[in-house]
Parts: sequence; C-alpha cells; structure tokens
Amino acid sequence: MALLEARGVTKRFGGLLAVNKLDLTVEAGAIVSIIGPNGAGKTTFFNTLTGLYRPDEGHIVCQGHSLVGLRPDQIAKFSIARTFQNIRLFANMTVMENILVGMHTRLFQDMPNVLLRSRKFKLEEEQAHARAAELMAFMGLTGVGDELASSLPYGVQRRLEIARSLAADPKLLLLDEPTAGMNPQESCEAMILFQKLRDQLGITILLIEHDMKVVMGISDRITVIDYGEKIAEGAPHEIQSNTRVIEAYLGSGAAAALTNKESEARRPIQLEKSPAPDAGATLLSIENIDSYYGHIHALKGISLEVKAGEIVTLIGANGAGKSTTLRTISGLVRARQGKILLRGQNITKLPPHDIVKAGVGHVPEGRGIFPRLTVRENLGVGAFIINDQPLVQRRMEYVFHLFPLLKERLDQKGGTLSGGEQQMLAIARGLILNPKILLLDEPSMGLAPVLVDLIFQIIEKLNKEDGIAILLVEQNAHMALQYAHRAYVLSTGQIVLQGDAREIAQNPQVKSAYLGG
Amino acid sequence: MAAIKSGKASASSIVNNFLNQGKRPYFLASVYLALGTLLVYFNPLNMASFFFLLSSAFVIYKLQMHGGFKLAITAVALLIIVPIIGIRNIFYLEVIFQISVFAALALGLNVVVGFAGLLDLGYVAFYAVGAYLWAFFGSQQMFLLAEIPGTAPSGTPFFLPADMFYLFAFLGIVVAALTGILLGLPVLRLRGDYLAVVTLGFGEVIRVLANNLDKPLNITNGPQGITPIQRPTLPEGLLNSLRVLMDPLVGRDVSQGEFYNLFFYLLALLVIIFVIIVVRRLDDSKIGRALTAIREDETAAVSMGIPLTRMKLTAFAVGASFAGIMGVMFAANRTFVSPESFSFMQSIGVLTMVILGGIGSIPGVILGAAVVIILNLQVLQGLSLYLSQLRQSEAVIPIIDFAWKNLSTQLDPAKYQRMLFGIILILMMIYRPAGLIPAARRKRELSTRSKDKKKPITPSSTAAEADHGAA
Repeated sequence: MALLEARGVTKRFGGLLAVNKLDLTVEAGAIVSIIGPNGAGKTTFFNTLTGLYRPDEGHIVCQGHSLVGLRPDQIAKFSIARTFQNIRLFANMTVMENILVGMHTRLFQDMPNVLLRSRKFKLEEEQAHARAAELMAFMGLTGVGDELASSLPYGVQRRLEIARSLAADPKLLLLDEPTAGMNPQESCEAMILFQKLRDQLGITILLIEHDMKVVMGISDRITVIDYGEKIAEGAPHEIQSNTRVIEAYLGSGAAAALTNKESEARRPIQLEKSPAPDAGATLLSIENIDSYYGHIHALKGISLEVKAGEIVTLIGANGAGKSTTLRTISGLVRARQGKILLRGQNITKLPPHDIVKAGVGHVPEGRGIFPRLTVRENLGVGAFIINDQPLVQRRMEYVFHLFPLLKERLDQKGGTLSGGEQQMLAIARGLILNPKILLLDEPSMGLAPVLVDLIFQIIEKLNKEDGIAILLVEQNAHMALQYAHRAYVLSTGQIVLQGDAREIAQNPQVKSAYLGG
Repeated sequence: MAAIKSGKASASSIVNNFLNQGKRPYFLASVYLALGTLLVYFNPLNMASFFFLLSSAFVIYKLQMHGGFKLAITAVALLIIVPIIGIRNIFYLEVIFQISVFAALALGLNVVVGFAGLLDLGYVAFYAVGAYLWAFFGSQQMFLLAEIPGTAPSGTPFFLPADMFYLFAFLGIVVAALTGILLGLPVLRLRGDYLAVVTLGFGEVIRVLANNLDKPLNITNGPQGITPIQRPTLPEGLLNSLRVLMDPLVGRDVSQGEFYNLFFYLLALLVIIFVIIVVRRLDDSKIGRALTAIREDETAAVSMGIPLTRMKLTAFAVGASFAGIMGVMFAANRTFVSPESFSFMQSIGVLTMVILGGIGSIPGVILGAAVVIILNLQVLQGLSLYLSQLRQSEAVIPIIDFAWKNLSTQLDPAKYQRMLFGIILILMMIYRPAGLIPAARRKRELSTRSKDKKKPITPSSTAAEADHGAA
C-alpha cells in the first residue's frame, strides 16, 4: 500500500487555481520529486498535504487515514515531517532546542510530570537530549548546539532544519527546496544524505527541488507540475526527454546538459570568452575590511576590487562571508576596520541610503521585495530618492525594456509573483537608481533551470550593453564562473584565491570544493 | 564555522574575574548583607540603607558562588533579617510584600508575553478575579446581595469562616485559570495586535463589571468596593511564642497587625517560590519549548505537531493562575478591594516590569518588579516630596537666582513623577533594550555530550562520514 496517496487534490485562492486535480502516489521507501516552474503550485501542494491549507477538493490518504480537514499538528502525528522553502527555524532558540521542539510528538511528558519533575520526565528529557546530540552529530552540527539558530550561516540553517524534521522520527519527510543556496559540492553532500536517510533509516522522501543534478540523481519517480496541473510523471530518464517538460521547465540548455553526461551536467566553461575590459578604471575597491556579527568575526581583512565594466564573482562555502562582504559594502553591516572606496570616494562610514545614492545597487539574498506592495509601488520605493518624476518614468521604461514581464504585472502585489518574477523585480528595483555597480546576492536561488539561464543572460546584458559593473555572489559557481571576468574565492572570512574566472574554474581545489568534482 | 570571539576582554569581565576569585565572593556577599542589615537596624527610617540592603539580593544573585551557599544566605536574609527589620519599620515589609505580589504577576504575564509571545494588555483582570473571589466569599457581601451599596446593616455576620482563606487561595488559582481559558478560547486565533486589543477590552470589561455589578444584585458593591474582608486567624499560641522571640530583637511589643504584615510577607514569599519553581520547570520542558516555538514561528511550530490552541490556552491559564492566587492574597491583606485597583494602568505597569526587567527572563522580571515598585513607591515619591518641601522653604535655585516658592502650581513637582518614570523607561529601552537581566537560552550541548558517551548511537555511527562540515 502506498504510504501517501493524493487523489484529485485542488486548491484555489480566490479565482486562482493553485493546485488542480493533482494525483500523487508515494510508495513507502521511495524518493519522489516534484519539479516545475516557479509558481507552479509545488509549495502550495506541500502546504495542502501538511494541513496548512485545506484542499477544496480531493482526498489525501496516509496509511489508510484521510488527512483532509485535519490540523497540521494532527497530521504531524502521522509521522509526516517537513522543511520549508524559506527556512523557518525558531530563530531565538538554540540549535539543540530547535531539535527538541522537532521531537514534540515523540515526547509524552504532561503537565503533572513537568511540574513534579518525575522520574519519567527526567528520563525522557535525558533521552531526548541524547537523541538531539546524536542528530546533531549525524547532520554535522556538533559544536554549535548552544548557538542561536539565527546566528548560523545559511547552509548550516538548512541542515538544522533537516535535523529538526528528523527529530520527529518521520516515516515521510517532505523537503521543500532543501539545496537552495547550497554550492554544487554541498548539494552533492545533501544528495548523499537523502539517500542515506532512505537506505539506512527507511525514510520515504517527497522532494521539491530545482537542482536537476540532485533530482535526476536520487529520485525514483518524478512528477512535473505546471500551473497546478500534472504535466508529466515518470522515472528520471523519461522526464529528461519529455518535450513538454523541456519546454515548460528545463529549458533547452539544461536538458541538453542533463542528457550529455560528459559535460558534468553543465555546459563547459567557455574558454573563448572575451577577456575583461582592461581599460576600466577601478570602480570599487575594498581594503582590508573586518566585519563582525555580534561576537562572530565574519570578515578578516578582505581586500578586493571591481573595475568599471567588469563582472566579478565571489564564491565559497556557506558562511564564508560572501553575503557579509556585500552587506558591508552597502553599509548594512559596519566594517570595524578597513576602507571601502567607490571611484576614490570613501564610503565606509556613510549610512546605507547615502551609499545607494553614491551608486551602489544591492539586490539582497532572498530578494527582499515588498510582498504587499504592487510591482509599480516596489519600483517606486526603489526610486524613493529621485524627486524628478519624468526621470523615474524613464527609468521604469528602461527596466521594463529589460524585463517585459514586469510591465504585464504592474498592478500585481509583489507577494503573488512567482519566484522568478520576484527576482526580476528585485533586480529591476536595484537598477532603477542607475547604479554604477550592482551587488547581486544569489540571484539564481530557488529558480527553475530555465529561469536561471534567463537571469544570467540579463546579467550579461546589463554588463555588456549598459556597462554596469557587477559583483556577484552565487552558489551556482558553474554559472557564475562562466559569466564572470574575474573571481575571488572566500573561505572562513578570508580570500584564499583570486584571479581570472576561467583559471579559477580550472583550479583543481576549487573544482573539488565548490564545483562538485 | 570559524567563529572566534573578539579578543579584547571587556571592563565588566575584568571586574567579574576580580570579584569571583577564590573565596572572595563568599566573603563579599556575607559582608554586604551584614553591612546592609546593620545599617537598616540602626537607621530604621533611612531609605538609603534600606535600598542598600535590598541591593544585596542582586549582589548575591550576581556573584559566582556555590548553589547551596546562595540558597542558605538568601534564606537567612529572607527569613531572619527581613522579618526583624521589617517589624522595626513596617513600611519596609509593606514594600517587600508589594514587590512579591507584583513579581508574581510579572512572572505570570511573562509566561504569556515572554514565553508564548502573546501580548496581553488586560492581564490585571485575572488578578481582579482572584481578589473579588475572596472579597465576595470572605466578607459579608453574600448577605448584602439585596441591599443598596453602602447600607450594610450592622451586625451582619461573615459568610464563611476566616480560615477558608487557604481554600480560596487555591480556588483563586483554579478560577483564574478557568477565566484565562474562557477568554482564550474565542480570541487565541487572533495574532499580534489584534490579540492585544481584545485582551485590553477584556481587562476593561472585568473592571467595568466590578464597577457596576451592584445592581440588580449587589455582588461587588460597585465603586465603593467591598470591605471588610477577613484575614485568616493567627493561632494565639504561635503568636505568643513569636512575641517572646521578636520583642527583644525589635525592642518593643509587636502588635497583632504587625504580625499580620509578617504573615502576609511570608505567604507571598511562599507563593513566589512556588511560582518560580513552576515557571522554571515549565520553561525547561516540552511545554516551555513549545510555547517559545510558537512565539518564534507559529507555522513551523504547528508543523512540528504542536497544537497551537491548546498550548496557547496553557500559557494563558498558567499566567492567569498566578494572578489569581495573588489576587486572593491582596484582598485579604488589604481587607478591601475596589475596581480602582484593577485599572488598565495596572496592566501596563505589570507589562512594564516584564519589559524593563528582561522579557522572558525569570530573574529579570523579578528585578523589574522590584525596580518599578521602588521607583514608584519610594524614589519618585521621595523626590517629589523633597521638591515640595523646597517650594515651601526659602530655598533659591543658584545661578538663575530663582526662588522655589515662586514656581507656578502648574509645575507642581508631584506632577513630575510620571514624567520621570517615563524618561527612565525610555532611557532603559534605548540603552538596555533586552532588559536589566536579558533572557538567555540554556546551554546544554556539552553536558549532554559527556552523558551520552555510553549510549549506543544508531544512525550517526553508521553515517559518521556524512561530514557536512567540509569545504
């Protein structure tokens, strides 16, 4: 009998049909993936399965019990655990406490036991703590158990979220884009982990994921959805060659790469790419900056420069300090030491809004659009410091020329846009002040392969046609190195390697550490 | 993660190291307490020495000493020193009683606001429920239901014997908790601001009920309040033996009223200890973690299997029950309750204690209660009294050569009290936004790791090579 069976599940939001008559069967012990374009309804489907939304139609049956109409906490008791697309940890609790909360359904202490500190209570707590320590070891979290979840770097937070979901001893684990924001090497490790969860712990996995290497590598079956409907279902090799899937989701490039095993799942880095424009004068230079997050010494003497007309990328593991570098440049994190110069002007001590005025555009990680404002209003906020309305209008025309899709969505709320559209909006908002340099933090995170290609093409266009210098932080190091002129490799807050992007891409250490072999 | 602490030792850590060397903290704490005791003993009317003595509680809390010694020295202070100096100047006992009452209230509100993150602006309603519970049953009110307020016929008997107080202290817990659940059921699906507004409304409803339930049946005696309310009897034999003990220490005969003050102080102390134990045990359990998880992220919490409504109701009930028992004690201590004591400002006052002390932090909240009570009862009142005296004297403000007595009545110093209090709050929130003693999460990893060495490890031993810390 199937562990989970969904039949004709439909979920509407007002007039929008988010999930339309979806059927899905998950056999015990399988790894099943759901893929599809951003906004296709994958996460909505997860939320319906876990009871956060109530389906408008359809049946969901788990081990012979209907889950429709049950509350999320009741559904969790069926040994179904999940992670979230945007990481929802208990930020002000320690790592260990987060895991202990994950054990909620496995602990039987009640109020009298708690208040009397009974033997049973003490024994259970002791076992729970031991089990938490065990899970921390399993997920490579040993040593950070007493840190607050919010103080962990992004990739470690992802691991903690998985550890927390494992704490419930789930039979079925729902993972929503677990490798978003991981570099190829980390994704590769995650893939091995998921296989282990299935093979050694017997956990059935339902996975939403955009990294095709992971999806194709570990899935037993794949369901592809678009506009809330299933458009294909089958084993990985069937999906790869399905024309409808290629058209709607994979894009021709990714599909070609997937079928061509020799190419390491990506196009080879173009060696004939034109070299960086040497004529460019230094636009941004950072000299020896040190930054802290609370007690954590995040950047230790970082120096780098970006010349006019260049694309420079920062690569490195999660927590290496890439985002912190961008945040320090734009003044969101204060450098304790060192200097940041923009065209010779010292901007180290300027408040963030003056740094924006000086010509630094920052597109933050996770997009940071205003979900309750319309696209027009989002762009308007981006242009806040321009008082010249006709100028704002011209700039808007300019970004619409780059992103025609946004023009069609002008009066839609930011929160209702799909992930790809949100990313376009975030970049557009960064461009509206006509920056000299654009700082892009993980622009391809959580995007469907076809959109990743599109975003990178836009980045290239911005750079080539409009001469905007770009400082790019990207976990998708393959793509980043392919499009960048120069690269810096960061490790634990220090620059360990720098040089021409093509040379970096060929460096054997970089290959093994960040490019997944 | 290559996190290293910033190298430089701060000034406070140097001081800490200096104070906590070897036997030094034991010596310091004892001397501090002894000095405070002597100061107050020989200057029973001097406020500064009283503060000095009170501050020894903080000193004992802060110094690093063996737990048993801390407990012992605190017990000596609370059970021997405070009673003696308290009876020498009964006002001190009253201040400490009030601190205890409000510390319990603040600890209760802290469960709701600090742990579960549910903003409750009508918390004092549960206090009122407890107070009116005993006020009604512990007075003659039951026989005055048909009377017009204020026209009690003389010789009306009390409805219940005075010693039923103890039963009602317990009932206060139950009834307030039930009220908490009753309020919680309809409103807990609301979040944030909406919940705050509804609880604010609830607080006002209870107060208005107390104000108006004098007709058609005279239950609360309206704005005049209920009085007299019985106090539990003090056994004569015990009193006499206590007198033998206390009279020489105090230096005069101790009256029955003074013994009542002592009695309520000890009772409040008992309740406070009970409350602290309950809150600490709750916090360090599945229930406490679930509440904190709800505060941090409801969606994630419910997906972990935490039943939101039931857990929130638990928080409400626990918080309310502390207020309930303190309400019963308040009614008996004052022998009088009226709606005035349960105004919106009281709720805000308790919330202030929680925030000022350190939201979510047990010692912080108690300190917050102490600071707010002392500021309001003593420091600010003392200051305005001093200023009023200046106004009546011939004193002149130097430099600008302005005589105090020419100050306009509009600028009466008594009116500055609230303003000064407000300024203190604002400064606190700017310079210590997390409170006087900020909440800290428990550090557990090391202790657990050393313990579980002997246990077999199931998945990790087979998957030790998972090694996610690479790169």
